[in-house]
Amino acid sequence: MTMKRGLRLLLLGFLLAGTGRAQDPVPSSPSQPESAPSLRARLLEFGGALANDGFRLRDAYWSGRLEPGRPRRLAVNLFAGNQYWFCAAVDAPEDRPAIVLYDPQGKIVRVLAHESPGLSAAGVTAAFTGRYVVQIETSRGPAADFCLLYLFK
Amino acid sequence: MSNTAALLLLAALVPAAGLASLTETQRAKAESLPAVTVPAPAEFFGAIDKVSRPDWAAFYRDPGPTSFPTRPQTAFNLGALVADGYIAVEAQDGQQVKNTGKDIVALARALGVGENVLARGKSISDFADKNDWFALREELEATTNEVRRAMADQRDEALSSLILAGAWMRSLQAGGRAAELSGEPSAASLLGQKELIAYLHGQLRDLPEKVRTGPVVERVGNAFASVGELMTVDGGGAPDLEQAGAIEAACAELVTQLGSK
Repeated sequence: MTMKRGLRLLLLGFLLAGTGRAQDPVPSSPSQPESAPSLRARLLEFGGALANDGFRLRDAYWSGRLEPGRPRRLAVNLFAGNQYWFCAAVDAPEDRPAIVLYDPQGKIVRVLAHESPGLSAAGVTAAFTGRYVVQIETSRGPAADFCLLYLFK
Repeated sequence: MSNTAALLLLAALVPAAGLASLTETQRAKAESLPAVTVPAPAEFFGAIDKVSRPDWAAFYRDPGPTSFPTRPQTAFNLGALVADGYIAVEAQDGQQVKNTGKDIVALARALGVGENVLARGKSISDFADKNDWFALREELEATTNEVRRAMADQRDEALSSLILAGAWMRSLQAGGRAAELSGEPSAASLLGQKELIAYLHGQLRDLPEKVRTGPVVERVGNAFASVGELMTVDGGGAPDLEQAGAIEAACAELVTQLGSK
């Protein structure tokens, strides 16, 4: 199924089903910001639509602090042929965090992008198996706490 | 909710804003978090399913011991059992999932964290009864994280790392076998996980010397080194079917050795 077709099905998913299954939060880092649980809750609500389309949510998440002009990068290992959505929320509603994905050769990856106030998502079908790098950055706002998680199918 | 759906529908395929490429140094400096950087075996098995649709039930192991002489060996086997749980879910075999779930709880008890995962074990059984494979995959990952978090609370990072090691050695064993049986080069290429193996190996190397030089950690570390070597392809390509077979054999040897008392 293509990513675009998947998006069309999301609307159907919303109409036919409720939100995705809620799980106990599993902080990925002991130094997570206080806002991380609420940011994750927003991402879970957003990701519910994707879950209804067959995407499975990773149990853990990445959270921390974003400073203007200083992107944060995290290594993730993806598998060729799988579809992924990386979703990030920040506690600055006027901001739209920029999510950028780099493939195992370090090249930027074209993504299906979604932005709404305080929340962004990037969807991709992995072309390679290997270590990708996901980057998050504030686009226009001041420093902000962030939370990022991903779903796969 | 409907607002979110509408917004999603407005998503567009765009070139992301950012550097066109990262340098090797920038890539190397990317942060890593075990619970996110290390993928769930379900991701690996899902990718295998897309290219070769294996008969997952053919990958079951005979039931093994539910107690081991040392905690490191117990932790490694708990991880391997988690991978077995994912395999049973792929096979959509509720009874096998329940059996594996019981063994996972038994090994967690042996590690002193049984209470932490009792509820998870019950959930695994309930979801298996309902054939809710989707929920089972999530529950298996949550169970793993629950045990690993309990290990971290006990300041026992070695056991936490060995759980991940066991899960991935067993997953690679199954993945290698699946590639061999399918004869699909694209299935073999999914074993190109050299950087993941290097990361898992690095976690063991970062342990305090006293722990690092223990027999189980040392044996797992040596296996990671061998498997990483087998995944290395001249010119940066992906492993072929022959290499997939060798990776499967190397992982199987370790899983079998540490899986017996």
